[in-house]
Amino acid sequence: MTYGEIVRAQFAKHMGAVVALWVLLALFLLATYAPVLAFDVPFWTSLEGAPASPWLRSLFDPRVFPLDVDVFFNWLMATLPLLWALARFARGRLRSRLLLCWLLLQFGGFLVLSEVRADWRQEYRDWPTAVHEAKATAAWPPIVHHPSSGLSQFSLSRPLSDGTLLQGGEAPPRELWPYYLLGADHLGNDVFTRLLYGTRISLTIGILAVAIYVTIGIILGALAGYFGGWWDDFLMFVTQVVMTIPALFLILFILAVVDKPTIYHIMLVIGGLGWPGVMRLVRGEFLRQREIDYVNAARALGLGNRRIMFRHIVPNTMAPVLVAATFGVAGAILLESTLSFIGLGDPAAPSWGRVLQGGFESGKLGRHLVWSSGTAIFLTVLILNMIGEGLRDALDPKLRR
Amino acid sequence: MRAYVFRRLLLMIPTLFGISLLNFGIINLAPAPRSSSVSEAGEFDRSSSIEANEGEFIFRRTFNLDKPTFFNARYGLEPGEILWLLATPLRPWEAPKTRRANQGLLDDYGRVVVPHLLAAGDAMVDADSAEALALRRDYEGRWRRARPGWLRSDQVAGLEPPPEEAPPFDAAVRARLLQLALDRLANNAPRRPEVVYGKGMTREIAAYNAEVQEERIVLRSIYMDAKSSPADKLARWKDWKAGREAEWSYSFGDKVEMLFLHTRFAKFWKSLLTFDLGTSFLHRRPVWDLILERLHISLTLSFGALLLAYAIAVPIGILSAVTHNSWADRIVSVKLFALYSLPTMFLGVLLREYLSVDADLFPVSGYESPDYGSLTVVEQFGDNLWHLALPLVTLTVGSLALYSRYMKSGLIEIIRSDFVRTARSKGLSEFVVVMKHAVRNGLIPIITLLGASLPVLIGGSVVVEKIFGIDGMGKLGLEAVVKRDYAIIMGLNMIAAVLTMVGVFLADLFYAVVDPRISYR
Repeated sequence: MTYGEIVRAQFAKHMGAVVALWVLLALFLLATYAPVLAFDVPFWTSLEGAPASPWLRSLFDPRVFPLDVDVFFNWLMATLPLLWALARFARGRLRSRLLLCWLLLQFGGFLVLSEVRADWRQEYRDWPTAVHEAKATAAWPPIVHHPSSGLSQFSLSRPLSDGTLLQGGEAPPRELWPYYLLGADHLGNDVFTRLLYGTRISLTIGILAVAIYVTIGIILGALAGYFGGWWDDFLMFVTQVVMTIPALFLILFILAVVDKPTIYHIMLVIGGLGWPGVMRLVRGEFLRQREIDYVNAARALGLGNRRIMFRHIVPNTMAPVLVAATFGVAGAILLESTLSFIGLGDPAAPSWGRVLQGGFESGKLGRHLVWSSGTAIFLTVLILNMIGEGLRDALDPKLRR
Repeated sequence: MRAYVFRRLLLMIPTLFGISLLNFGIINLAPAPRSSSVSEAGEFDRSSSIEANEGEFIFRRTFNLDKPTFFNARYGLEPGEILWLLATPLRPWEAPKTRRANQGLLDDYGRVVVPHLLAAGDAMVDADSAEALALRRDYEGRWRRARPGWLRSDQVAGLEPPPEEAPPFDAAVRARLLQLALDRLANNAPRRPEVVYGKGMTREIAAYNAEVQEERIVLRSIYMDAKSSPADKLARWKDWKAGREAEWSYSFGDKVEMLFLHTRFAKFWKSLLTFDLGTSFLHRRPVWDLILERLHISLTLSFGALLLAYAIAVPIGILSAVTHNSWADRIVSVKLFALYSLPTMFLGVLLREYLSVDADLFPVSGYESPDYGSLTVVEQFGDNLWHLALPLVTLTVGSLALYSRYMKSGLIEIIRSDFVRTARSKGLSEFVVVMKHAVRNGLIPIITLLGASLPVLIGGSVVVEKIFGIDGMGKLGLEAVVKRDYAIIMGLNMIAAVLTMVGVFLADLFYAVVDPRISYR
């Protein structure tokens, strides 16, 4: 059995972790295909003067989706089936080459689209009302809501109500504007839609922030552990300093200095402060590995330091880093929603923490918001922690059963 | 042991230095509002001078933003540069940003530039003197050097490009520049009275302020004198300056002092070493006082939560290690695992909504009741406890799960180890084996956690204080972030870092006490 197969077999013994992995996959698919599930623009309509597919036209409209994160996921809707196909049908060399092509397609497409789409701004159009008034037919997504253009007369509607009970405002026709599945938030947005699109934000921030700090941690840990001496002393001192400062206070400081925090700032701040843990892990592994024969063999072959560090030793230190990263994504998601909760998030992003904040500040009327958004955060963090747990046990040779 | 304690204490100094360096770096990145005595077009505007904008003045003074960052060579300013800055309103072709920066720079120079301003004024009165000609040549040189930059960067449609040569200083221009120099003198020459925000007024400060006020009256009378011509006014300024020539002649010692000590960096360090955290412009009070008033609340919260977490986690850990793999253990483990993932704010909001608002078991917000002052000491303690119960529970839950998991996994390994088997084979009761032999060793891993969990707890109090409306350090910081009061945020950062350092230090000492294998040399 190869190492990968052993780990996979060990992981499969962890029922909870396997289930959690599937749930995470489902969550990711839901986040990616959110516009198919919940969007206030029809796939197709017989309305006169409407484009062939208003839905398609709106996907990259900066007025409808102001955040670049949404562009990434909307583009992913098109490219994800390709990824599935190549994972299913291609094997060996071909697969890795195609994978590279796919990555180029996804990220290149994202970059091009986010540049080009500035010109694709359309007039705002209230499609449900327009279609209804013209008595046209249209094919709608199952949930006809947008994450952040709610109507104030529906604010704080209870779950499963049609939104008219609270404020007595005039409700749009039932067939076009169906129930609020989880109620509406303090701005009148459908909470389910908001949480759905919030998944994109949370997963992106979690994964990218951890990617940033794992990269920093691996590089610094490798330098400290491989060279030792002066490097080690200095880097350990810096680590000590960063670990001593309560992260939340430092984040407060940094966000006060930043003019208008966006999700990129939050990612950078979380990523820039989280590395000490990974750094210490990698450093410890390096201290142990650099004395082992294979490193001496590599050195005897005349390989350069950089090649030995990153091609030979780093792959051997990846197991604990992978576990730390999984727990780290959970931590980053938690931290991001905490920041949004205390009012320091990106005001443009439909983050889970902001829904929770809205619910908290609306008092008794906002309890459905607290429950729904809190549960979303809790479950996501829980499944990530479960996966981390399963990975740790699977990667730990001591616990092999 | 004593040597170890000493070394650890010494090590705190560089750590603190590193932390403050980080803080200094961030504060230097802060969008420093330029002094608003300069209007949008770069014209000098006396009506909105620094006095009119107290908050900004406090901000700039607290962080010495009017001084250079590392080296201050302002004893050697060139008269030509001052004239160039002074004549900014005559160069409408410069970018508004540059013009504002020029005027801001003059503001920052303050009293240092008085001789240069007088020299510039002189040159405007007597245009044929050698100094005036030298200044004029310098100005033309600067013009020629600045122009290509403008042509490259600021060619906005509709704007006239600047002429190739600086226009001659005719009588009108000279009068304008003289007036600008006089305005500048009136702004830069007077010292500002020391304002004590919440601090005690000492006799020295009072004497200094009286002197400053007297001087301001004299200077104001020169500036406001409507009868005399600008040239006469300039002469009166020179008379005033002649009486205090010493202030602008720098000895070598003065220069060295100015170069290294009158800088942002040096002042930052001076205030740190004297435990001066600056003045909050939001509260108009020293940051120290603001923090000290709230420190005990936040400390009670975080240390209370810590103690509570340990007090509950250790027994749970022991029980589930002893009953490892039984049904009870599995259920407890799953529950703890779920608790570990529970977001603090979710739990806090739920507890507050259902136990305080609905069931009315606990107060909805605050740290003490309105009639706190009239209670006896015991009642006061009870009152605080009643108010802090839910926040404490909220803070405890997250760390509780972590600790008991550590306790359990550590203890399981120890129970399997040889010395425990030996103890059992001696015929000791299971209770004695676990409690006396195993648990003491099992405590070691969770004591190492103590150091790492302190920053988390101190940070966590921000959320809890927001939810439960407690006016502690976290709430102070949050308010400061929204209103951009950097002094408070930086002060909080430093205090929190020091608290964490002390906590980690104590944890390490405790570690040595519990584990005799660890010897500190």
